[in-house]
Amino acid sequence: MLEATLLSLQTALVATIGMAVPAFLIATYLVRNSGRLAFIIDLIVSMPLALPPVAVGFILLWLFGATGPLGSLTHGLAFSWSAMSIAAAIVSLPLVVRAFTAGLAEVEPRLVFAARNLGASQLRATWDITLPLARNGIAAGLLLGFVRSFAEFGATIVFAGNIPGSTQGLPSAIFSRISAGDFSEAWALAAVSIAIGGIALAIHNRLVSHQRTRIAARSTSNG
Amino acid sequence: MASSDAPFLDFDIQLHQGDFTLDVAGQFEDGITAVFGPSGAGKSTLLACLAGMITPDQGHIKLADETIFSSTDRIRRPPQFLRTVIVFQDGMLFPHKTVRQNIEYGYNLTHPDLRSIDPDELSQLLQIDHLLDRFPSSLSGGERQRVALARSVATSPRLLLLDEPVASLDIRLRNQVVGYLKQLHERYHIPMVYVSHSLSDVMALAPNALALDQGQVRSFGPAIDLVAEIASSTRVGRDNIDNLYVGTVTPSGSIRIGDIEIIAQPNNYRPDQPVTISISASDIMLALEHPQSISARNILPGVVQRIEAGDYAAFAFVDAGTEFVVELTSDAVQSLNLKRGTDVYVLFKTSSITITAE
Repeated sequence: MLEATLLSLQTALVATIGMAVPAFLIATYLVRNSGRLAFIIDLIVSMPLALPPVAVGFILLWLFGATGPLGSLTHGLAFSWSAMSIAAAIVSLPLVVRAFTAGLAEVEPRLVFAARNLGASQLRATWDITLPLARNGIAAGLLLGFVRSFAEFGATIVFAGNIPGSTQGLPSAIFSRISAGDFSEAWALAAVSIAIGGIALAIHNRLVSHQRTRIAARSTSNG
Repeated sequence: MASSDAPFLDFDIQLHQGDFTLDVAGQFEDGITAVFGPSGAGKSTLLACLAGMITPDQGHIKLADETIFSSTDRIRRPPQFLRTVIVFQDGMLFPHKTVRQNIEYGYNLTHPDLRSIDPDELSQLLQIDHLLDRFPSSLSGGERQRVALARSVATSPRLLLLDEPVASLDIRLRNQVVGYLKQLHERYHIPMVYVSHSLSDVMALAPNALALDQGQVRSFGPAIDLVAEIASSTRVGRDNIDNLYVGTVTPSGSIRIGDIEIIAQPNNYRPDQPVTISISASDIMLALEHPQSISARNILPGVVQRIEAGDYAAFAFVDAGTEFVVELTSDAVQSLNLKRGTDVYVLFKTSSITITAE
C-alpha cells in the first residue's frame, strides 16, 4: 500500500513539475492572442477533457509504441514509470492551462511593460512581475494538476499498465484489489486517496476563493 | 546633453492600428518638449513607439545619434536597453512591491556606470521619503504619481516620457507635480517629452510643443504659439479647451474648488464626495462690472493674466481663485479693452458644468 501511494505521489509530482513550464507558455500565448492559432492550440490542449481517459491512453500507446510515430525516439517508454507521468501530465494539462490562464489574465500587461521599460528583460519581467501577480492562479493550477495526476487511472492503465511495484499506483492498486474481491484493502487505499486528494483540493479551493475576493475587491474599487 | 548639430530626438514613423493611422515626424531638442492634442490624437501611441512598447510599421527613431528603430535597416532595440522611460498616467506602480522596492527596481537594473541619480536624494526632492515602506494601494493619487516619477527618474533615463502624468490629479496637485517636474529638469537635466491635452500644463513646462490631431502633426513650435494657433484656427479649439477641476460637493449642494465655490447641480452626489468638473472655455463669459440681472449663477471676480488673440478666436487666462481659460472673440477683447491686469468677472451657467464622480 505504501509502495503504491509513494509511486502515485512521485508520478503526480513529476507530472506537475514537468508540465509547469509548457502549461505556462501555452497559457501566456492564450492570454495574449485570440486568433485562429490560439483557437486551435486551446482546442488541442483541451481535448483530454472531452475524451475518455482510456482513449487518451490508447492514443499515447500508439504514438509512443514500438511502431508509432515517436516510438523510435523513445524506445521502451510505454509500460514504464515515465509513461505513468506522461499519461498523468497529458490528462491534467487542460486543467492546469485553464487555471494559469485565469491567473495570467489578472495581470495588467502595462505593469509587465513598465518593468521592461525600466530595464528588465522579458524573462526578468516574467519572474519579477507576472509570476508574483499571478501567483494564486499559478499555485491553484499546480495543485489542480497534482490532484488530477494523483487520481489518474484510465490513460495510465492503458499506456503504463498495472504492474505491481513498477507501474501500479494508488488508483490501479484499488482497481486490482476490487477485482480480486479484497474490499478491506481497497477501502484502505481509497481512504489514503481521500486524505491526500482532499488536502490538496482544500488548499486549491482556498487559493481560488482568495483570487475571487481579490478580483471582487478590485472591481468594486474601480467601480 | 550632447550639443552636436543633430537634434537630440529625431523620429519619422508610421503606424496603422485598425482604423487609426499615426504618421508623425519631429526633431526635439534635449529640453522639455510637449506633445499636445485632444484624446485619440495618437499622443500615447507616439510615446509607446518612443519607448519600444509598440513597433511602428515604418520609419526611424534616433536618440542622441543612436538609431533605436529603423524599418529600412531592420533595427529594433529591445525596450530594456532604450532607457527612454515612461511615466504612465495612472502610475502603473508594482502593487506587490513597496514604494522603496518600486523606486529601486529600475535603479538596480541600471548599469552602475550609468547611474547618475541617487534614489535617496530623489525621494527627498519629491517628498516621498516618508512613504518608502508603504505599498502603492495605500497612497493618494498625488503620492502615487510622485513615486512613479521617482521610479522612472531613478534609472537615470536618457529621455523621460511623461504620459499625461497629471491628468488624473486635481488642479492643486497638478500644479505641485508640474513644479516637481520643473525641479527635476533643473536638477538632473533629463530631456523630457511631456504629453498632455491641457494647454495650461504645456505652457507651464515646455518651451516647444508638437500639436497632434488624428494621428498627424498639426504644428510644431513654441508652446505659446499653440494658443495663438488655436485662436487662428477655425476647425480646432472650440471643444479642445476645457477647464478641468477636482472639487468636493458641499452640504448646500455647490462644489468647492480650493478657495472658491461653484454653483452647480450635483444632484446625484453626496456631500464631501470628490467630483471632477469641466467647463468648456467657450461656455464662459467675461464682464467688466458685476452684472445685476443675469441668469448665470456663477459670477466670480478675477484678474486677466494673459490674452492670446487670433483671427477666429481669442483666449483670456483669468485668475479667479483658480485659473480659467475663457474663449472669446477678438472683437470682444478690443471693445472691453482686455489686457493683462484687467479686473473682470467670470460668468458661466450652471448647465455648462459637467460633473463626473472620481
